[in-house]
Amino acid sequence: MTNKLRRSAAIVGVGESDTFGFDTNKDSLTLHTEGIINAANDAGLNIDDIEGFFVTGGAGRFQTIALAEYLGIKPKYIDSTYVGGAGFIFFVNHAIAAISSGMIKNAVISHGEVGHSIRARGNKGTGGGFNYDPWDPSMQFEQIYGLWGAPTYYAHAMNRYMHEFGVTKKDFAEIAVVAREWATLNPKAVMHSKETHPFGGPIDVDTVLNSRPIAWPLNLLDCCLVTDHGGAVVIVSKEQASEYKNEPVWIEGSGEAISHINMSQMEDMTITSAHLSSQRAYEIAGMGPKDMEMAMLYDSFTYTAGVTAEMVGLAPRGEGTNLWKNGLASPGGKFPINTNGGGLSYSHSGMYGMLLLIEAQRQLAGKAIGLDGRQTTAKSAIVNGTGGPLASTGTIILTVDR
Amino acid sequence: MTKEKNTDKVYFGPTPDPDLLNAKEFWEGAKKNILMLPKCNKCKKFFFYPRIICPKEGCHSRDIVWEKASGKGKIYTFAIQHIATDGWKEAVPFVTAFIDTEENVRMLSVIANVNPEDPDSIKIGSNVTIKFDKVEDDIFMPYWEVV
Ligand SMILES: [Zn+2]
Repeated sequence: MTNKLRRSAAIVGVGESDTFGFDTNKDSLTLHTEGIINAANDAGLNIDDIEGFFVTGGAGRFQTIALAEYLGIKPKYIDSTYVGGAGFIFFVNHAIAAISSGMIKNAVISHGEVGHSIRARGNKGTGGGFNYDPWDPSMQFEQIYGLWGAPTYYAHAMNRYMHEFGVTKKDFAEIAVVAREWATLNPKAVMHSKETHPFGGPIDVDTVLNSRPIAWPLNLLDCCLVTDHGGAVVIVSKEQASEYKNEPVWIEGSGEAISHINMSQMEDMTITSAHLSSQRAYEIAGMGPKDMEMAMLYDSFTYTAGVTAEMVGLAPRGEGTNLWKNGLASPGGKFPINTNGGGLSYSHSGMYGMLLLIEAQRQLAGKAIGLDGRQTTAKSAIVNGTGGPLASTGTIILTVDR
Repeated sequence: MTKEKNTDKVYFGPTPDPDLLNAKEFWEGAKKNILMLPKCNKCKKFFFYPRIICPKEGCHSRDIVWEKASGKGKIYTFAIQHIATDGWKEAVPFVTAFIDTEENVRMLSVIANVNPEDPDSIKIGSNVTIKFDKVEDDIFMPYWEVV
């Protein structure tokens, strides 16, 4: 029997901020707003008609209300779930619940973040911002030992994985190389070419292995970019889907899962909760990994994408990185992955999940912009986001009717 | 490449503000160079970090006791940090590791007596033993050494 959540809503519009990348000279509310306006125009939605408003990003602790105020709208259903970069996939899951219950007819999910610019701006003019509680266990027992950010944590998991499965840094480097191949077809990608970035353009495995170490086993090119970016998607109920400008990209199923926040509580660092979030999504969709024709897998690090491929059932244990070898995931390959260039080479402002959604919609709707070979023929996609130190995952399954 | 380091100093991080409600025994033990761990008095399992409830599935008792741990464990995994903040900047590269103790809890710390310039020389599964670095008169930070 068909699950009643299956195809209960569709993505009908997507948009990004007018500019993104390094030094946009914008604040996060501006990036959010540009993404929302562009997504609303793409769909044919008047922003005064937004009913569900799902927001996370860099607009502070009251960000959803702050953004609604900034836009001058008063949506009737809001959600500010904060689970890191997976949040936007969680929002799709939550929007499905709200839409299928009949509480709202449409949802706008928004992201805006000055991952790059904030480093330059620092705390200037903020009165210091709010401080973390030193009694918080993650402060007292983990961060105090010099763990300052994502790579410092993920490196531990990657090393354990390499130890257990005999997979090497070279195997993971292939993921960065393929991401760059896609970026070279995408003129909007930050690392598209030498024109877009001094270190842009094609790379090989040795480029990755010879880039400077950040947190061994992670080198610089194993790590995602840190940019400024904004984006939004418009989701509407199945009854309304045909009233918008774009061909509906159906949400066949969605799922979310969490495991830990302190990495000491992650029982097996080679297993993320994506095996649960994907199982939940496949179950609603009535589909499996074999039905997928492309994938958008959060590549915060080469490790994240490699292990996620296994968790969502696209590859056997220990063989995730093989998906990126022999041109399989590359432009023109049998199973395209991260077709925008990924967080590694397209853009990544800190919470990348929104860009997974936008690219999956564009590919399925046949609207991928760029050079020849960037548009795939895929009619189904699996999208998985990972947030925090491998702490949270969300998975959705998308299709088009063509 | 290796910078001259103060060989006595292992812990370069900020001075903690010990949580004296839930982790008092941990910090008191550290002063005596003893690893104290919280244990559930119902399911009899150790856990870490300290908290007011047993996190084990099917238990969640609030009857928590403290016991002296063996101070021995194995490296579950490690990483070599080349970029750091605050005091740790002067320590790079340094080795952080998740240690599985004999009591079956996992703790993050640093390993002192290994060569961060040669990752292949550091082995997952190696036996390690706990040590303490004096940060202030009454604050001692745990770290580990390969046996
Ligand atoms: Zn218990």
